[in-house]
Amino acid sequence: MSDRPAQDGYDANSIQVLEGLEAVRKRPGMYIGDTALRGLHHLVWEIVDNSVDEALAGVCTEITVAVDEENAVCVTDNGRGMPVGLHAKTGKDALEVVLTTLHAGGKFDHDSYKVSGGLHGVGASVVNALSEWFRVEVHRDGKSWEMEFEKGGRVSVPVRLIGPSGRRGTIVTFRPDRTIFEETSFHHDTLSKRLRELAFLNRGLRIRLVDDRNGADETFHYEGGIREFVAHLNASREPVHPEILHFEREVDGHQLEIAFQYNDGYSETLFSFVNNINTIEGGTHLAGFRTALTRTLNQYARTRTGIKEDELPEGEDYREGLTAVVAVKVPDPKFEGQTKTKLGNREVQSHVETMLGEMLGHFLEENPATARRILDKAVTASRAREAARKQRDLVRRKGALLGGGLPGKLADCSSGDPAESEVFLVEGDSAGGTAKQGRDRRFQAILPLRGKILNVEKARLDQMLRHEEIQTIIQALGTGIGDDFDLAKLRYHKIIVMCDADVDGSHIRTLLLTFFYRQMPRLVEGGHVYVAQPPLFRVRRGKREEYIHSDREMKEVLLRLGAEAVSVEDLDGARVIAGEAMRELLDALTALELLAAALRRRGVPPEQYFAARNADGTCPAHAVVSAGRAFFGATPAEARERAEAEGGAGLSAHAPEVREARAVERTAERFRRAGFRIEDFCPPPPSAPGEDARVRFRVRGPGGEPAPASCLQDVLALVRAAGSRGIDVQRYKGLGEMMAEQLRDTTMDRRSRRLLRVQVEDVVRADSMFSVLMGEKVEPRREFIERHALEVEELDV
Amino acid sequence: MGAEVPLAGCPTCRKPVPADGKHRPFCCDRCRLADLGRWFRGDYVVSRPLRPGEGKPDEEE
Repeated sequence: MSDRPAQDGYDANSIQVLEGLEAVRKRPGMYIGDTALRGLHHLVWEIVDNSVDEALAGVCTEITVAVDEENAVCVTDNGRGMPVGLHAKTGKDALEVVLTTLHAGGKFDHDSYKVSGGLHGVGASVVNALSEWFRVEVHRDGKSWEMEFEKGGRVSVPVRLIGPSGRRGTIVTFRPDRTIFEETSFHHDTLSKRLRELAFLNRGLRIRLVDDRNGADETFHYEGGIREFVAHLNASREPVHPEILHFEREVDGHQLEIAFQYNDGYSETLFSFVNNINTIEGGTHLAGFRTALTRTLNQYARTRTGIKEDELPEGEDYREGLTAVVAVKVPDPKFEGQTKTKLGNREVQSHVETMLGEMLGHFLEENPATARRILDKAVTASRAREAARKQRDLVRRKGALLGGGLPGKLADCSSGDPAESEVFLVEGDSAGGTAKQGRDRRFQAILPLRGKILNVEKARLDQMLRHEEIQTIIQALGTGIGDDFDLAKLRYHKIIVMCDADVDGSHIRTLLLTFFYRQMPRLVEGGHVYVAQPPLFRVRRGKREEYIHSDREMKEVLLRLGAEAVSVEDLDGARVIAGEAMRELLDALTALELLAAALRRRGVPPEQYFAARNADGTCPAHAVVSAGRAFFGATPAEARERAEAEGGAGLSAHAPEVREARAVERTAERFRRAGFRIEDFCPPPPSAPGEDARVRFRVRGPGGEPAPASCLQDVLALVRAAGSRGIDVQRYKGLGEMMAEQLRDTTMDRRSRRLLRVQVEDVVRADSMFSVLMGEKVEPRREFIERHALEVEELDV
Repeated sequence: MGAEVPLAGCPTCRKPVPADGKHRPFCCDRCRLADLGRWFRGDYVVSRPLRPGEGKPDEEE
């Protein structure tokens, strides 16, 4: 095959044409960007865009792109077919004109195409110019024609009628010129991604990709258009609201379409298109979208929610987790920017703003739940942004005041060695003052914190760490926070939380530990966080003075003192218990008392539970409780059955596990060895109504009459009473009630104090308790606090 | 307190977090910042009703 000039009657015109195509071959970058992969794929897009234009004009429904093993590409559509026939101006066939003349397509003529997708409209002639060979087959008007070119647009087979045809459309096959392109192997994924995109953008258009090189055969077809595009982009993410918002409108020949949905991630995924062109640099359509999105959502927030004016999210907050597609079709697009992918038409911005403002505004009114979710998400984003700013300020300020950046409230220690230094975080200014007097100023620093805030209006006591406290703590510790956190800069190797030994104290401690665990976990992991153990009681007997740290310990002390002073006479067994046997019995009684209290907290009357022990000594594991009566069983079903049978219908179907079962069994065994039964713990039922319970025990103390008791529970109380005789007990309600020396000796002095090192598990527990305390649902929180009130008080963290 | 400890994952978004995650106990820095923001704003409040005898402003510490 040669140029065959004579045969085809080449004239001045055709030389000009060849010169045009020759220019493309000489400087391909000017027409298709580059001769690397991007330019190579550009060839396909030029041809495909011609077919998509047919689809935009409403005359094409299917496009097939096939790549063969030689990297030749064949694009088939069922459009109108390229024009064939004599072109009056040139005297040549129209088909040849289209394929050999630059800018000869119908795209610049608004009558042929209202809007056109061709990237830069360079057209099929450029593809022809850059191909080793190029073949076109046209089916229209019941006939089919073909024409072939080679070596950059030289006609090798002139237009010729093949014969009759029952179909319509154009088939273009070409092979990129290997002397021009650095790489002539098409990337399947690039083809697939863009063709899928085109299918999303052109609702209903069916695009098929057949790749002989890997056997792939995919069809992209989306009746939902860009709504499905958003669904596709969000497929592996968790949406914040169920529906995809989708708005479209046609104004002045502009088709505007927007779809979006928020996901729980933090990045934005946004695609914008103008006439199917991916406008990477954005432009007026995108600006309109962003402005209207922020304005409309904030408008809703102002009028329909309680979000305060100064907390309204900003534009960037509304971008977090946003997946959006903005697609417009504009009759006369003006492109700007580096890569000419930025839309410049001013009017598009106002069209998009108006449309989204109206339609989104309407949507929000009708879908308050979704509106709420979107706003929540943006408010969270704005708060995180604010926190990041404060965090930066904190670090910056510290740097600016290097050395002198310590908070004024901190009473620092004189030692400069972190390894031997400790800081006490003390609740309350007055306790802080006591601690300052009681400290060893060489090694011990004091940082008083204000946690309690009286809320007189609501009649509540709120506890919180305010911004200043948080800031003060971070500055005093010296480590920084977040990505800047540096354990090596820790100024004290022991951070000791010192709070009152009451519920309020436990709350502020929970707050502090949760803060450390969440924001400075390495402090906890490194074993730097401790909890001081201030005493709850001071016990004085004669000259002996003792500090007691918990109610439980207090009971033990009283019992120990009592046990030294009394003996118990068991009238049934005709025996006297004293000394070592007495101690063992009291131990067992104390254990059982705790179990009884635990059972009562569950609503299970202990005497009923103890009596329900099985013959083999095992205890039932489940209980149904109703109106002071309990029904037991080894399984929930058994307990329920029994409740139905003995208590009647209508009882609670809930049969929780009695977790104390094993412990009760063990304690019962201790009682058996001591010659008692656990049933003896509780008062026996009176033998006749109105009659006093039978006296079974006598407790003899030093001097006075022996005291009668009907059960072991009473015995325990009598022994404790005997123990408390002649001693002076002071209960400390808070750290502030202690003298400086007392606080020093009991809580701060390294030689005599008790410290608990906080373990990661402790704080995980504190955090989960915290989550409940902070929970939004009031009811479970109240229950939780009631249920755990005792435990909170005695929590060892 | 041998109570069950529900390991709830990231305190902000509840997604599971690897024990040695860079931003533990959060899944990412963004979630940590969201939490820090709440501390800064004083959103974390433990509250209880006043007891009889409490409630005079001078009792505030």
